[in-house]
Amino acid sequence: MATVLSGGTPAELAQAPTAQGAADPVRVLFIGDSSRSQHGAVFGVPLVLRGHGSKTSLDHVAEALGTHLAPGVALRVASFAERFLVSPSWVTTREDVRRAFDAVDQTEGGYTVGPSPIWDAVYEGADTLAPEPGRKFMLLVTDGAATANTVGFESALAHVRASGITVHVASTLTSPYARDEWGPSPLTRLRRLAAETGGQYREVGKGGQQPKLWEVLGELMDLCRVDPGHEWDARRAAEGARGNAPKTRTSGSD
Amino acid sequence: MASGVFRRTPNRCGDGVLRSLLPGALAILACLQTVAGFQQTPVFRAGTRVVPVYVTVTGPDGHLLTDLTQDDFQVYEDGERREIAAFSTDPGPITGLALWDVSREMRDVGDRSRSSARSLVAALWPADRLRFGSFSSWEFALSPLLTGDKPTLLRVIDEELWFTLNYPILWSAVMDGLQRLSQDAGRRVLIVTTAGRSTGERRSRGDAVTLMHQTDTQVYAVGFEQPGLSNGMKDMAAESGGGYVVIGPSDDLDRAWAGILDELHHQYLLGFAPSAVDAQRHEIRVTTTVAGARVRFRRAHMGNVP
Repeated sequence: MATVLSGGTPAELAQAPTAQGAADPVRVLFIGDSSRSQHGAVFGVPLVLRGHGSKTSLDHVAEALGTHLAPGVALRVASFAERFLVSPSWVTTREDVRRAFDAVDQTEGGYTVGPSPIWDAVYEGADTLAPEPGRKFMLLVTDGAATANTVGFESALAHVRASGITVHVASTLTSPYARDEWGPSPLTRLRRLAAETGGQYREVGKGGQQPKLWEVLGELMDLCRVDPGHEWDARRAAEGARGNAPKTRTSGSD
Repeated sequence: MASGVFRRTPNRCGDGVLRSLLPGALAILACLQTVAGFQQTPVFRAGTRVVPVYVTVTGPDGHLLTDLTQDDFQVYEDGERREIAAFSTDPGPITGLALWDVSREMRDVGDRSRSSARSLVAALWPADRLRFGSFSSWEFALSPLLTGDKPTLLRVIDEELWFTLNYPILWSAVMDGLQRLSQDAGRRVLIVTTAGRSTGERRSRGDAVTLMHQTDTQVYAVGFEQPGLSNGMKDMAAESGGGYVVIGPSDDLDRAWAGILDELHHQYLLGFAPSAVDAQRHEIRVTTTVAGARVRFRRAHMGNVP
């Protein structure tokens, strides 16, 4: 068993990044924001594309996820707005990925509707992943501006950590825009969610210098094949040893 | 602080007393319902509808008068005097929806508006319950949590109020809020923090006022000196028997909200049997024999079965 330093304290690795570890099954849950404010980000067809036969963001996203599905990796797809919808089964082929997206479509007339209960979605996503074997990842696409949640951010984060899930975040809101237009940034919690679960935080844009969402998702899918990181495993091991890893869901305040 | 809400004088008669039931009045019973260990809104039970009217009475100095009796009031419907079928000096805890305008109209006072939300939570009385919501053209969102737990409400404020550069769609938000509030049991109060302006609407202020009366909801409007509070929003609050406050840059937020909650908890609850259940608007007027007193009350009911 290897030993690493975590915050200056020796901590045993929960699972060493060995060849055996890399061969574990991998489960990836994609969670896309389908709220009104996220029209066209993943779900919803922008007006300019209607009737023109152009690829929507959803077409690109499904293609990117399908293309980057590695052997041993199984994917489910979820959307959240008024409801949290999860595709019915784990899929492993490119063709099935697109069908999984169709199963969680909650747009109305091509438009996204409803609020943004991001932390409820993360919490329920963790419930979906928790009983699965092997390494577990969440790919979260949102702008971070959460509304209408039953659970708070801290509860969701604790639940994800206790479930051993790594969260990669693709933020559809970029830092310069958030700083200039929003005041208190909704991105802070997204960064924390990724950082404290050993995941990556990336920002995407529709043009200019920002990478496109589907490009970033392809890269994040590739990360789902490998060990999520020594530091994260060490931290989980240390917390497990202290017995302070949160295990139960609490609503309301954190 | 410009205000349609007034200061309170010490209560000389005590609260929590169901003062009287008019003997023989349509066999209507008024009772205070106790559920789950806390006192809820007085519920008028009868085979017929009783129109609830929450009444605020202030003296010439603007302070609340809290020791009036049933005999001090007269109620009129469409100009005709009606018997007061039920009367209480304890209006009960509120079931509130706090709607926050997070559009571009309010963005410059975003931090102060967020602080104001925290002051509202601090001012809640025991057994009051509140749900937060926010609106702009970007999104209309209501918290699923209706609660009196202050840490939970503060968490919702900190995590879910986002001020944006989008447009205000006020009347749609008010109507959606009223619809949601009508599903909650209890004494319904809609609190709207806004500039009172609306853009790109499919619904009108008149529609919102009608729904307000149909759902027996009091409305309180809160604005800031900049960008101000529209007359339309002030008038709606007045029409409901509620009130409004325009908060200045140096005004104490805690004090402002304490004043609103104090008023809500020191209103009189009067009930009368309507002349008809006909889905038509009927004007209400409440007067008092107390010299120099000013009375605020809902201006109408919609002749509907609640």
